[in-house]
Order: sequence, then structure tokens, then C-alpha cells
Amino acid sequence: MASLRLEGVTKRFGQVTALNNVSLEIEDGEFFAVLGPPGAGKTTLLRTIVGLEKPDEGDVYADGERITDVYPGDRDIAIVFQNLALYPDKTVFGNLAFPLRQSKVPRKEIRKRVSRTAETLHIEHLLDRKPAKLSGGERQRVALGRALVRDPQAYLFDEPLSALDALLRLEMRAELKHLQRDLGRTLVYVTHDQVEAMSMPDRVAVLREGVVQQVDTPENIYHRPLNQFVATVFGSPPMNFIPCTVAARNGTLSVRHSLFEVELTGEGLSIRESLTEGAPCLLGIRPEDIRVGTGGGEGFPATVYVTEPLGGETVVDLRLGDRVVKALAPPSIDLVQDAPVRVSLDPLRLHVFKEDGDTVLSAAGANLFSVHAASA
Amino acid sequence: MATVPATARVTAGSAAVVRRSPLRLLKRIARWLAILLMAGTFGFPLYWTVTMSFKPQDEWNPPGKIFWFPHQPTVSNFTDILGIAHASNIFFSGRSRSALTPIYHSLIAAGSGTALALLVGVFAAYGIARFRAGGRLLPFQILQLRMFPPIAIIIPLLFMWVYLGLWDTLQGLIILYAAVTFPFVVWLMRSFFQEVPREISEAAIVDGCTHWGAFFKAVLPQAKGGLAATALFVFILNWSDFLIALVMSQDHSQTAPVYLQALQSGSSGQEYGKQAALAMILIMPPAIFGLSIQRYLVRGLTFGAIKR
Amino acid sequence: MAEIRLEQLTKDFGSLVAVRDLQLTVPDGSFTALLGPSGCGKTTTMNMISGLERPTTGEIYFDDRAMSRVDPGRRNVGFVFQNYAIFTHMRVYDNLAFGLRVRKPRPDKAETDREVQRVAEIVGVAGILERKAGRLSVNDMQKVALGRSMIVSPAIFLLDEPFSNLDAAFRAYMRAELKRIQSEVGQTMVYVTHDQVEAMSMADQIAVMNLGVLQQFGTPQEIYNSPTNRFVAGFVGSTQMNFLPAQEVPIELPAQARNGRSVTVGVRPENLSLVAPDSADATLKAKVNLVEPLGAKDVVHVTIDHQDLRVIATPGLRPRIGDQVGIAFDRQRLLVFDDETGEAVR
Repeated sequence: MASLRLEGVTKRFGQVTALNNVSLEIEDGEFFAVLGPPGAGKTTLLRTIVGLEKPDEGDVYADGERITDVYPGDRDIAIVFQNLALYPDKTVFGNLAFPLRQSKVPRKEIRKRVSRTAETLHIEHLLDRKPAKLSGGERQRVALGRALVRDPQAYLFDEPLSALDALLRLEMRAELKHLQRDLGRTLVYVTHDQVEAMSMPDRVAVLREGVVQQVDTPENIYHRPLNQFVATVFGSPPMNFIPCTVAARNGTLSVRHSLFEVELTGEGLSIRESLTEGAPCLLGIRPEDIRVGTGGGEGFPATVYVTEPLGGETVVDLRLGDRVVKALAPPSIDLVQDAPVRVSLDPLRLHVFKEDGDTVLSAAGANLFSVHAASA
Repeated sequence: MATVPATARVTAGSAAVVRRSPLRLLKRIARWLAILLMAGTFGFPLYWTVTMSFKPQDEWNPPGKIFWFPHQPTVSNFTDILGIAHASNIFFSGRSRSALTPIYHSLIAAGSGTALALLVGVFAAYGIARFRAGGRLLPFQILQLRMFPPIAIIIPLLFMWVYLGLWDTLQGLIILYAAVTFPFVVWLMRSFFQEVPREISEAAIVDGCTHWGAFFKAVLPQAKGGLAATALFVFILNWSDFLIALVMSQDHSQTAPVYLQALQSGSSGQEYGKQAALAMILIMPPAIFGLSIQRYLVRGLTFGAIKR
Repeated sequence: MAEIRLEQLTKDFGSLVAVRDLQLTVPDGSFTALLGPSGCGKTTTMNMISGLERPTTGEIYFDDRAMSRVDPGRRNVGFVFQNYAIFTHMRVYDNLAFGLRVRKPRPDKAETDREVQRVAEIVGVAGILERKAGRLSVNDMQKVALGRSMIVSPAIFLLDEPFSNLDAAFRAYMRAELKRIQSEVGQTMVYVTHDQVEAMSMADQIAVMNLGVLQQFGTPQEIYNSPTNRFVAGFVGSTQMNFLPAQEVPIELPAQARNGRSVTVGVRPENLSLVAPDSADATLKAKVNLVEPLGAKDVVHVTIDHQDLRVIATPGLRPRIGDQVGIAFDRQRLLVFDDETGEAVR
């Protein structure tokens, strides 16, 4: 068992800074995901933890012990590469036995541990085959097996499911989640898939251009993003951002749009220092938190840009001033283009961002905002 | 979808050949004639060598007559050249000597030269392929060694080798053969190593191997096919070398090609039959070598290592 | 503008029949999607409409005019491909103007300017007309490609997976844009895709194809709510429909379905709900295998006798892995499929 810690790790490749002052603490036994777009430095992060890259600055610790200069083979950390990197000249048995042979485990013990691992992963019947004779899913399991068989302190997985088809990926996702729970070992899981990052890990680190944006539970990343970038990593369609201005009146503070006004109430007022009157800001709201109604009633008026029926739900694109925002509606909604509608925003799910993208405030279920139609 | 039409058209084309028109038949005949002509051009020297090696001396080159087949086939050319019988019939620079010693010299010089080139070249190639040792220039600098025609530097080398006491020694030849073929080893092996995914050696390192261990246990097994092909190619180059051996050896390290060229007797001029017999023998080592490594010469050993 | 009518259209490549007996009418000014997995014949169909392939048998009509012998260049058809065919060495302006300049008679400068400006505004590249096309982002390149084909005002607009190289967020944006553009310009648009979300969200009607055969032609709602067979039912839907052998579902099925035939029950994940295992609504009991939170909703994977079922749930009531739950069915929304033919039983 091991906790892992990175302290101010910076890694450069020529002009490119792959990791920029990354500090992370991964707890013992935790399922930890690293999420980011391609090129964010996710793979470099894993390679630095396992020791295949040496940081230019900063240090790596396992269980409080500095391992920055420890040889990869001596770190007792297993890695599953994105391309799997099986030994093609060896059978499945040979692949699984390889790490054990390196650490001079007795032959009998090797046999026992390999067959136990093979059983866990349901590949007992494949032990005599070479990787070329395996299907994609089977190779995936062999690669996992080569990591499991060592029974290391921590596992690092680099997008291990990216090459599998959708159905198999789903199956493996459930299996991995169960496996990690049973093993109780630290697992660092790199992915660019938001569903994986939401469904599997205990905590997620969001990485962008080598900089850690936020480390938190998937729930909190979803409901309390620290900036505009993090707000877009979860959710499909992603969060809408509506340009507004800060307005102050009679001691109240509000975020104003030509069609509506979001007033800060109660505890929401506590952040008044970070907003200056007249400054531009962004109001963030997810498509599922926008309600679209026909006829009169609550909310403010808008027109339908287009509707996108998806079967189980319908995306309604609304024209708000010169912006188009996406809202989710039940499939029963029947709207034609340019139809007038009433729109209401769920005040419990609003986010306010500064113009530069930093979050000022997320409601996240608390009563911090009240929304009114703009007074004429 | 896109690939389907292509295959479909191929099937349609071959079906069309079945219903022959006279023009089609003529075309086919012309094509076969061309093939036979080419085959004859390349096949005849081999045919000449094989038949010649079994001809007795009076059938070698009689005036005004051509023997397409040996009329009185004999193996005496072989036994003579190998010194099994009538060793005294062979004359070489006025001295009698069988081909056994030159063949032995060739085997040692070409074999050891190949081994040495591989030993140095394989590591250099791995360093260049995997760690970019020497930057971008080194591979080209190595290839530059081969841009001189050997004849251009052979004379200064001769002086050096004489001075160093390497002239007319097997060691001298081995070093030269290794030096001359080393660039080929580097260039060929470099591309084979580049095909082995970097992660495979890294997986081995994480699994507990040293860098050397990862090379020998994880990378080299996947470059086996390339290694075998390179070894064969380099061995053939060394084995058939004539120029370097001609200048760099005399008595103590004379190789078979040089011996072959000098094979003549005072009474009958060129010893065609014996030269042919020796040529037949000289074909053997590369052929045996090639056959014995044939199973490694298949490509695609890395298939299955990574997901594509 | 034109109506496209495909009559008994068949195309084989040797022994492989890419498209078989296709009968389809694309109404004038409509947005029609050809949807199907790779190899279903959708691209071949489009190539026949454009003239890149000639049908083996059958005929193509544009407004009652037979087209199968007409050269592609004379069909007045615009294309947008997956790999945006733009000239990277030219300015965006020249890329857009290209189609006009090769036309005879060549329009004058003022007219070209006007047309380029009009199209640039529609596709959203008006601000970058002077930039070199090669310097643009992938997203902008695709907009330019779209504009290039639009400017010649073809009667028919063909798009072959134009969004597949774009990132997810921009794809979502372009879906709405393209739908809006089509409705404003009013050209007949045929859109080829394997992505059911694109087909559902944009098209007025969808032709679902599989193995060269048209499976169903209808509005997105028809395709989604009343699929004609099991293939269509399984192919359309963000979360795949659940299929269960009828004997495992203790629900009275319509009389027709029980007519001695072996049938499968199909139910969409949103028409199942999680209830307490001892609730009266619980038709089946199952164990939670995995919860996939998608933000607005959760996809809960449950297991019944080694059958994986997907259930859409609201995030508020998130069960834990291993929990025992009850599954309630929306009985109005069950579909029944004949096991032998795969056809829907009504």
C-alpha cells in the first residue's frame, strides 16, 4: 500500500512544458483519475510517477519517502501503457511471469501467482497463446494481468480502455471498478473520457497544458468547478456561458443580461469584493438546468434557434440576445424554429465566472441567487 | 466500404482472361518469351558453372567444340580442389596447394568480421534508435564511411596495416571487414529497432529489468528477424569480398575468392573445371547460413505487442 | 432546389451487393440523413446521387429528370467531405470565391464580393476572410469547406460525415448551426453519418440502412419511438435499448405477440426506473453493477441472471454498486420483436 505525492514537479521537453509545477497528493488505496484533453501532460505525469521520466524540478514521494531518483524497477509501481506493450515473443503465461522472473520469485510460486491472476481476469484458457492470437479485449486483460501479478504498491493506468469498442469498454469499466475495490490498492487512472472520470474514481485531477486545474471528487468537479475550463470537462452538451455585466444597486449586487438579472442574495453577497461594478462576467449554466416553457408564466422571453431531438430528450437551442445557448427538454416538447418561449434558469445551479474564467461563485444547490426577468 | 470495389474489380479482371481472344493469346506468348529470355540470361552462368564442375579437363574448353553436358562426368575437380586426391596436380603461384586453407581463411575472416560488425553495430543502432545517441548527424556520419569506394583508401590502409603488423593476418582482415560492413548493420538494425515500440522496453524496466536486461529480454527478441537478415546480408558481403583480400592478404590469410582468381596451371592455363568446382563449394556457406536462419526471416514479429 | 427520387437502386461490386433495391424519395428542401454502421451502403448511395458511382440497376431522378447518365459535374450538386477539401495556400476569401470564379460567365468583382460576404456570414467566417486558410483551426477549416460548397448554390447538398474530425463541443455547436443554415437556405440536404445523435438532432427524416438494405425511413420521432425492427431499435438511442427474452419479463404482452412465436421485449433505458426491491412496482429485482453519471442523468447498469440492463435514473437517487434494486417498467413503452425475423410485432 502506498500514498503518492508529487511536489512542484516540472517537466520540459525542449520548448514544451509538459508538466508545470504539479503538486498532487494521492491517498493510500484511492482510485484517482487524471482527466484532460490530449496533450495536457497526463501521460508524462504517469511516467514521472513510475520513473520513466525524471522531473526537471520537484520530487516524487511514495509513503513519504522520496523516490525521485529510485530506478523504475525498484519503485514497486506497475504501469499499464496505453498501447499495452505486451511482449509479443512470449506467451500469455510468459508475459505474466516476466515481472516475477525479474525479481527471482521461485518457479512454483510464479506458477501459482500467474494462475491466480489469470483466474481473476478470466484468461486462464489463454495462457499458452501469444499476444498476436488474442482479441483486443483479451490483450487488454493480459496487460492488466502483468500489472496485477506483481502485487505492487500502486497501479498506474494510461487510458487502458481507449482502444476497446463501446460495449467492451463498459464491461471493463465495471470490472476495473470492482477490481480496484477488491484489491484496495492505490490506482492512478489517466483518461480523456468524461464518463470514465465521472463513474469510476474517488477523486479527479483536471489537467490542462501541464497545469493542475482542480483536484476533487467527480461530484464537486461537476457542481463546483474552479474555473471555466473545469466547468466544461463534464457534461454533454457542456455548460453554457452567457456574457453579462456586474451591476450594483441599493446595496444589492447582481449579474445583468439584457433579458434577465441574477441577484446575489444571502451568503451570495459575501463575495462582493471580487466583483466590480460594470465589469464584464460570465454566467454559467448547464443545459439541464434551463427550463423552457411555452405560453406565459415564469421566466424571461427568448426565441428558439433550432431544436435537436435526440429521442430520449431534446436539445433546444435558444437565442438569448446574440448568443445561442443549449437547454435540455423532455422529448415531448414540440417547438418550431423562431417560436417564442419562456426561459427560466435554476438559481440553485448557477455559476458566475470572472471574465478571465476563474469562478467567483457556484450555487451548487445553495440559495445564493434569485433570477428575475429584466425590467423594461 | 472503399476497399470493397477494388477487390471486386480484381475478380472481374481475372474472369475476363478466361475467355481468350487471339490477341490475348499472342500477348501471353510474348510475355512468356520475355520471361524465358530473362531467365536464360541469368540462369546460363549458373548452368555453365554446374556442368563445368563435373567435366573432365579435355571437355573444359576444347577448340571448336561445345559440350553442353559433361560427356564423361567426374568429381575429380572437387576431389582435386579439396586436396583429397592428386593434391600435387594443383598449382598455385608455382606451388601446389588445396583450396581448404583459403576456404578456412574466408570462413574465419568473413564470419568473425560479421560477428564483430554485429556486436558493435547492434548496440550503436539501439543507442541511435532509442536514445537518439549522437543526435541527428551521427547516423549520416556513419553512413559516410561507406561513401568512399574502398579502392580509394585501400593504399593508405595497406601502409597502415603493414606498419601495424596486421597485413596478411586474419585479424587484419577481420577488423577491415567489420569496419566496412558496420555502417550497414547500424542502418539496418536502427530501422528494425525503431519498429519495436518504446513502451516495450519501458515495460520491462518497470517490471524490474535493468536497461541491459530490457534490451536483451524484451527488445532484441523482437528484432530477431532483423538481426538474422542483417547477419546474412553482411556475411554475404564479407564472404564475397575480393578487393580488400587481394590487397591485404598474401600467403597467411589468402581468402577463397583470391585463390579462385589465381587458380591456373602452367600446362592448361585457366583451370575452368576446378574454378567451377570451387565456385560450387563457395556457394554453400551462405546458402547453409541462409537456410538455417530462414525461420527468423519472417517479418511481423512485433505483431500483437500493442493495440493498433 | 430539387426532390431526389431513387427508384429500385442497386449497386454491386462483383459479388458484393453494396446497395439493394433502394426506394427512397427525399422531398425538395428537406434535410435527410442516411444513417447506418460502416459498410451499410450509405456512402455508396451518396456516391450514386453525386455521380461518382453509376448504379448497376435502377434510376435516380432529380425532379423527374433521370440522372444516372449525367456527369457529376453537370448535376448541380455540392459536397462537403470528412476531410475538408480546402486550398490551404489561399486566403479564406479566395477559397470561398473559388467556385464562383471558375463559373462561366465569370461574375464581376462586386457580385463575387457580395456572395462571399453573404456565405461567410452564414457559416461564421466573415471575420477571417483575409487569413490564409492553412493557418486556421480545424474547426474554422470545416466552416470554410462548408461555405465553399454553399456558394455555388447547388440544387442538392451532400455531406459525408463532415463533423467527424471536429472535437465534441464544436460538433455540438455545428449541429445546431447546420440545422439552422439548412432551414434558412432551404436547399435539399443529404447527410451521411454513422452517428445517430447527428442524424436524430438535425434531420427532418432519417433513412436507416444496414447491409445495403433500407431498414426504415421516417422522422426522428418515428424512428425512435416505433422502430420497424430490432436493428433500428438497437442502433438509434444514446443509451442502447435493452432486449430481454419475453419469458423473463412477467408482463402480459399484446395478444399478437404471444401467437406461439418466440419474441424479445425491447425497452429503452429511460422507460425503466429504479424502485425499492419490495415495492409493488418492482417487476424485476436486480443488482447494481455500475453507475455511469452523465451529469444530467445517471446510467445505472444492473444485472439480472447475467443479463445487463441499462436504466436511466436521476442523479439525486444514486444507488451504490452491489445494491439490490427493483426495476419498474413503463408498460406503454414496451416493444416486442419476433426472434426469427427481428421485425417489430405490433
